[in-house]
Amino acid sequence: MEEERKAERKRKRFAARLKSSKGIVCIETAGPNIVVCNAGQATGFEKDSVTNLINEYSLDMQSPKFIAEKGESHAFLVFRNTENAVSFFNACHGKAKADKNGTLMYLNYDDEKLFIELFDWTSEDSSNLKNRQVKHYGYEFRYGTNDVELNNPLSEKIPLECDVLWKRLEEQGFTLGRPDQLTVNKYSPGNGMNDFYENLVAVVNGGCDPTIDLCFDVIVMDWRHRSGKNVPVMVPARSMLMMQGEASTTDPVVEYRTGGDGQTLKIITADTRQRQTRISLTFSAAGTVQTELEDSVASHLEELHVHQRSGPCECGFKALCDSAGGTVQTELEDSVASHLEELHVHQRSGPCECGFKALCDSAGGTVQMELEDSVASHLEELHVHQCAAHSRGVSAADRVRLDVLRAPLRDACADIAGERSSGLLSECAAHSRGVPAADRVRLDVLRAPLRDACADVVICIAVIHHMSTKSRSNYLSKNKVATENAQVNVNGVNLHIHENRTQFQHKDLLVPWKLNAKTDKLTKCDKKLPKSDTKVSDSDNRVSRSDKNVSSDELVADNTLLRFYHVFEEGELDELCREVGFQIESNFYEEGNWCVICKKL
Amino acid sequence: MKLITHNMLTSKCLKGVLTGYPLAINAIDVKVNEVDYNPEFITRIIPKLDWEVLWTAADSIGHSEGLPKVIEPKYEENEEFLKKAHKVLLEVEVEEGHLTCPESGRQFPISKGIPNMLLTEAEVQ
Repeated sequence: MEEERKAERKRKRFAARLKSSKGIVCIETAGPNIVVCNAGQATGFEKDSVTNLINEYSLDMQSPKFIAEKGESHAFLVFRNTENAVSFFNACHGKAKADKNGTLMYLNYDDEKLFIELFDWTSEDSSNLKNRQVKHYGYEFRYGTNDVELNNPLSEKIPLECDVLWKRLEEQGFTLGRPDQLTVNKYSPGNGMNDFYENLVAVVNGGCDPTIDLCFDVIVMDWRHRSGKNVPVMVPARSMLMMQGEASTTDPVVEYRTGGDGQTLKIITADTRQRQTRISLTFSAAGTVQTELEDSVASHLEELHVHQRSGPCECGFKALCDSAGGTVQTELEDSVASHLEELHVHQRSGPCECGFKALCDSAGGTVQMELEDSVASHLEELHVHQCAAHSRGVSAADRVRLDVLRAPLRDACADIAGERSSGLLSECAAHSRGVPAADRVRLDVLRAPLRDACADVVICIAVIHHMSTKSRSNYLSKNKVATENAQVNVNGVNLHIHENRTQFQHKDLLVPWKLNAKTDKLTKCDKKLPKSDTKVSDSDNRVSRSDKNVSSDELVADNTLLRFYHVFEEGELDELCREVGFQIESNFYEEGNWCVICKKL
Repeated sequence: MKLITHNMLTSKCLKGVLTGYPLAINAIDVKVNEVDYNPEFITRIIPKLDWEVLWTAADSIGHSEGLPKVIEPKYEENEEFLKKAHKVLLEVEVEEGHLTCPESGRQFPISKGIPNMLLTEAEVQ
């Protein structure tokens, strides 16, 4: 009993000493990390010593990870799990001899030391932003655009040591899954976070965006709502902040920032405290960002921005939608949405017809030019054919297929190619020159200006996956263009994922596309690219998924487009066709696309 | 825009418009591009057309000469007729001008041979 009390007294004394001299915070609850309080490199305590102790006490475990700083008389042991740490603690604390002199070893559980060891780098390994140091794991968080560089995963993944966090959270009932992106920020004393917005795409992950603060002291996060309301939230040291749902998705509504630039920080009680070094870990599930859009944002955005803008909004973001008493939504429907749709989905020809001159003109009109070049090549197209099937190419793959189709049919049919984009239409015109009965009409696929039952064959390529759920079925069910018994060929997904073929776990997503311009061209240009420099000959290559070569954040911001895609599952397209009364004749999967050939009954 | 295409176009998606057919043609520039003559194709396509609309359209741009107002019973055997139909359907193209909705008067521009049938949100049913 006496020895136990002595051990406990010593433990507390060492804990206090470690905290005051080294800033190492010991905790009362057991964890996988143990700090050896009175033995370390300076006292000749080595990894072998630990192994010997494990053998001496017949402990059934692997040797822990051993961390000892030079010249220090303490050391850290990182066990595989808490049980091992507890066994070691119980066996050795106050009993085991730390050296040949017979000094008893005293232990404490340590927590964030591990993380500080992991993340307290010197400035050489990290990029220095103003007032702080930053390091990325998994994927790079781009500060220029506030999103994540999804196409270029970093070689350095989130350290496995972080896994303990998810396990611990799960024990508390929070199932987050496993994040794959981590941004570590190290703030020197007196430096706060700047005003900080995270881009919708980067933040949305359906679950949570846990931020873990390894500050040794409290910080204050000052949340500001768009309405002007301020909510300061005190975040204790070693705490985790999780943002979910609207908080994490409606970024312009909630912005968070901490502190000012001063040396002291005002806390609500009007106390002032000296600020200390703060390390902040922000995890997110970057790789699944695009896929996670489905349930929450995608349907909302897509409802508002893409096609189906009639009827009440069905999104789950009532606070945002209703915040202006429903008028936000209405405004979006009527004005912003069509502008955004023009920008993000449809190609524009001629001057922009939106009412948003300030927005349009703020980029000196070049946004429009650039968009025309980029969006032009890939948007919606509908092929309505009379008499027999064939058409002009869309992408290289389509072109090959259509050329095959065309050869025997080129003189035997009349075809009308319907297309939203004037860029594609002029390309189509060049491509079908010499085909006697080929013609082109600029149209909206959902409002085809064609007589009922005029087509014997309808081919729909690379269109339907850009439509919302409602639009998809509307398009098919209200399609009166086809005659009875007409063959309807519907092509479902066309993601144009080239070398970097991605597995999509969810069905609706916004895919960032960016102008594929040559680096040497870009380096010469300011951020407003002259039209001639952005042209790439092949339509399929005009827009490609984000390209690492384009490094300037400003360029990224200007040239990145978010395009809505619905990814069809096996059988989904067939089911859709069946639902609207088509009879499936055949289906196949080719180059990332589902294709269905069906008959209108 | 070829007249075969014009024969299929309507403005029925406009708000308040029932049939939107046929659209009137106002042509500024009409070209005749010679293409291969395929009598089988012409024979096959004729039953699918609204002949009266085709004739009126051809007439409105000055290409109705020699084209019968009504299709004769055994047209497939009439080489001269088929050639005339071939020319009107496939060779005559409206390059510049506009189409006009017969009910609302809404005009759809034709530029570089492509009619722009896009509507604004406010215009649709």
